[in-house]
Amino acid sequence: MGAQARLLDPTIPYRYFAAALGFHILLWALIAAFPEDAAVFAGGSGPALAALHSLTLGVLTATAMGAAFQMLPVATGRPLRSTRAARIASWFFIPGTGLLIWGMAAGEHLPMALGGFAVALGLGIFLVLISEILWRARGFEPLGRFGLTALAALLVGVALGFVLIMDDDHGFLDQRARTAAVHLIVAGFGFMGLLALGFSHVLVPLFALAQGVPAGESRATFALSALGLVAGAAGVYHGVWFLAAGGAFFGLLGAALHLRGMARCLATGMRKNLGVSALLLRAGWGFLVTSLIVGLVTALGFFEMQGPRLFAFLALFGWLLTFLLGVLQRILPFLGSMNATGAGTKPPRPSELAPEGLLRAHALLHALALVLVGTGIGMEAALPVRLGGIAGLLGAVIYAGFALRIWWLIHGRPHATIKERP
Amino acid sequence: MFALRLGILRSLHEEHVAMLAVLERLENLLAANGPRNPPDATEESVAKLLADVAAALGDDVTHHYAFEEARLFPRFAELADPGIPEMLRQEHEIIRPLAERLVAIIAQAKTDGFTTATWAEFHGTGGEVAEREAFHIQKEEMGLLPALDQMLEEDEDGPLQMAYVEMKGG
Repeated sequence: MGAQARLLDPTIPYRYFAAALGFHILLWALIAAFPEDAAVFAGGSGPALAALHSLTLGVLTATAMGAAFQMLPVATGRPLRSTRAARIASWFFIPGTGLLIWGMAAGEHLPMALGGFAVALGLGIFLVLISEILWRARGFEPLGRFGLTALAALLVGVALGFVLIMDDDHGFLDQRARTAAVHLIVAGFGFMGLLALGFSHVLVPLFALAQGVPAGESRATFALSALGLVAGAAGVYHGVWFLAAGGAFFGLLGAALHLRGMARCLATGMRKNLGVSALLLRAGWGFLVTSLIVGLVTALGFFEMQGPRLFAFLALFGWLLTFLLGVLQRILPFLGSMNATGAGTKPPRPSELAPEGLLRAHALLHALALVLVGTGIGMEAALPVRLGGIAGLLGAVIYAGFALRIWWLIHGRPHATIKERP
Repeated sequence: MFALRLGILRSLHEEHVAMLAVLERLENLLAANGPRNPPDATEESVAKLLADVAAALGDDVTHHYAFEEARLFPRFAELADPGIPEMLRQEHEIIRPLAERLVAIIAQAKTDGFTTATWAEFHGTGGEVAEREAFHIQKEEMGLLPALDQMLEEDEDGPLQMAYVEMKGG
């Protein structure tokens, strides 16, 4: 195996991205098919829980794994300790997620437990591999700080998830609903949220070709976000609602500081036209702020059951999913071209890989899905949720088409050869 | 992008920034004049831009690429992994003939102006160079420069800067 293949084995990130695209379709299909469950979801197994984990594990975590395995060695110059281990992690994680989701949808404990165990094993391998890179690359301060803390949150989130699965059959938890809420906060804001903030320090300046966020500002963002996370989780678990509100407040301050840095990157970067992906990134950031405001207001007692539902929906679907789709829209052509440069072939041009029309259609349907499902959850009405699910499903199919098109242009189509200099 | 510690890497970064500025102006010219609509190559702003494009691409293709290939890629391969420099070297091989062709069309346009045929070729090649070079710079700014900044010793900086100056002077 040559050096090119050793570093950039495309099957590692692509298997995670392919899984994410499949689970993206599945999650919207579940919402479209079972809108009543999603509109009034209050925990417990069923299609809504399955759709939720299709998003969190199937889309968000799978993408984070693929992106981390591919991007971190490139960004830090520290190769993965073992590409074989990264493959083995996928053998546990991807089918495990499928089994877990099936168990959740059907309300069957055994597939849930087996799937959860496989997911935990896959995530455990991921955690060891990535924390080792981040530890060796501590000089990349923001990546290390946000990344290692996100991985610690992943450990806690997975442990809580496993406890919840076991409790589903044995019923030993006194505070199941609060444990589930802490699981959501730690996994959503702690793992995925901090990882998104950390990766943004590299990716957004890279996309815009801008100077990075100053170290002091990044440290302050991290401190506020971590404080918000700990206070929010502790407040929710102990039922101390002013502490939970304080967590949301500190989270808002951290988000405001982060967004100021990101806005500066986009405004001062050498590349001004970032296309549809910049729209999705900005929309995702808007949802981050909105979700924290809803979380704050809910903690202060202004909402009934719609509050926690809307908070979770805005954070997971509005912020994390929208942001991730925006990022993926830019890094898929990027990674595709990295993998295409080799063996004396001339890869397609970047503009061939990312046609604007397709991306605009997806963004429009995604926005429509968020508005309709959000409205349905707010009104506890199934019809808008179903219509939103259908819009999301169409968008997800288009997005999968966009990714498959890149795959075809890179790997399926014969390329022109390039001439080596004598 | 990260704040770089070593002078040689800062020099390369500054050249990337300058190159992107020229490419952005080139893209604006191409957007304003379709492939069948050649601009007046003697018009002051167009002539200045063409001269800047030729200078930037000429220098980038000869010195910048050559220095990276001779001095930085082998060190990166030695210290980390050969995959990234190999990929970047292959991108150089793709961009090099395109840039050389663009510079040749510019030289011809300086004396004869653009015909419909030469402008159409310039339009296609220029667009491709701008896209591929910007993408290439993104990769170097994300992977090569920050990682080298972490891995190279400070006492390597002076000799590398000297070697680059010599390469440009020679």
